Amino acid sequence: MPENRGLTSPYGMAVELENVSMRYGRGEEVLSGVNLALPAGSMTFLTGPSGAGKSSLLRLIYMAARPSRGLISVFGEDLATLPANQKPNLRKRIGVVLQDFSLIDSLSVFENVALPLRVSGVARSVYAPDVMELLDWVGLGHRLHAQPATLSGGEKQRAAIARAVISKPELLIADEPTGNVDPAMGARLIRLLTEMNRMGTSVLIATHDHELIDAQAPVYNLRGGHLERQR
Amino acid sequence: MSAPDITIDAKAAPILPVNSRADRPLFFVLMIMVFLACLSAIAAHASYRAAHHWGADLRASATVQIKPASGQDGVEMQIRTVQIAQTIAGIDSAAAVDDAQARALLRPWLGDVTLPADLPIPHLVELSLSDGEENALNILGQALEAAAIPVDIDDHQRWGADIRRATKAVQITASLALILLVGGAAAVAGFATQSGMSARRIIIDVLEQVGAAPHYIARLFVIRFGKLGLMAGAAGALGAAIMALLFWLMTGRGRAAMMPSFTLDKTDMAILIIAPVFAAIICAVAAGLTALSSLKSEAQ
Repeated sequence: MPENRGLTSPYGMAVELENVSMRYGRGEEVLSGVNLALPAGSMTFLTGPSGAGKSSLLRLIYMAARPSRGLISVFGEDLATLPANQKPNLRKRIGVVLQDFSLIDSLSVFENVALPLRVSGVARSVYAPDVMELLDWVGLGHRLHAQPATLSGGEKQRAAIARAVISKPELLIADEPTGNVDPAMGARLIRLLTEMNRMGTSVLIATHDHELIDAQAPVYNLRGGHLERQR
Repeated sequence: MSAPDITIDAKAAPILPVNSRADRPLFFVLMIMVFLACLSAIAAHASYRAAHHWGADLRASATVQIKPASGQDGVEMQIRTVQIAQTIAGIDSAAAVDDAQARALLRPWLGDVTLPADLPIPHLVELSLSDGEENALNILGQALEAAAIPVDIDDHQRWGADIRRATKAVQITASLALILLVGGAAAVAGFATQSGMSARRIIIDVLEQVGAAPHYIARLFVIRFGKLGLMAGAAGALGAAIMALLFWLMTGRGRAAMMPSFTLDKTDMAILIIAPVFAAIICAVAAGLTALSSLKSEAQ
């Protein structure tokens, strides 16, 4: 059973994992019997050393990988039985920031950030002001037309975060979101994520930077594929 | 927060990058295929047109050969044959082939030599027939038999059948070539889509991550390869048009003696215009089906 059932939300669960295990091919299990419940509107931190399986756990939640065992539900939808044609709609409700940023090299910063809205069919005249305003806020207002290859690591990270939050997702998953930025920008980005959480977005952040962790938020530690709640 | 005063393009940039270096081999293969397909179609159409004209000419004419008969003068029989033929309904005209013309007919087989004066040259009468008057030759045969003139009447049907057979063979060959080229183009486009998807895996992953449905992603490949097919098709059709023009010039502007007259008519122009569109459709459909099938199987 999920471990943090004590956390209740009037809006139900954003994510639930029940006895989830995962392995790549025929290798060792990278996750083993993981139970996790993230109430809607919660902000949760996931810590653990490199190679502990944090990214794999996040990949399961945003449907980039499948578990070898166990049940995963997102917004109450069981991913194992969810029809394939429903997955894109579910993904639109999730914003993802990855360690490698996953920016499209051939598109400008503006086009990269606008991508979720463009895919959702929002008119360019509607999304353009929002994208420019957000890029301005994350300090990339002067880099709208820059190609990702010309950005620094920190700029790429900010662009990736902007892309993840532009569509105001219900769930935001961030894998080491401040790994490449200076402390001041790191704090600014965490403030953005906290602000989104205050507006109702469930936030799950994987990090090994303990200074970023909100003192009030629940923290889970992943070690050797096993998940334990720290507080 | 205030929006900066920086303008953006009114039109969104294409999500799939135009990678001319990676797409170049596909462009050339498609161009060659459309070039060959256009030439096949134009050749098939030209052969059909030539066969149609030859067939019509043959059906509208017949040749009467007067057999030698002891005690009868060949020239006199020839004159009488013309006179009898001119009285029969369905025969528009009858003309005796004179000795010089008859000797000229032997030249292709015997060469440009002086023929002996005593060489028995057949006495011939050329007939022009009205359309739909096939029975006129039977009536003529009966009339000449009654007049005791021994003849062979050649209605040219043997040649007509040969032409029809040859035309059919050319058309079947051209049709098979077209089918193979269409299938080949579809297979090439499908293969290129697969490799294009592999090369653009990161983009596809990002698109899936932000909630793009398989048909949205497939549509990007449809547009990409549809455009490529159109451009390659246009280049191939242009090449075929230039080749056809060269052929027209080389064959004496369509007036070569033994060759069918070759010109580019409206149908040929339509082939050249439709071919690039058809290539674009084949590429787009093949790319869309391949991408959709691949994305759906990944999602299973």
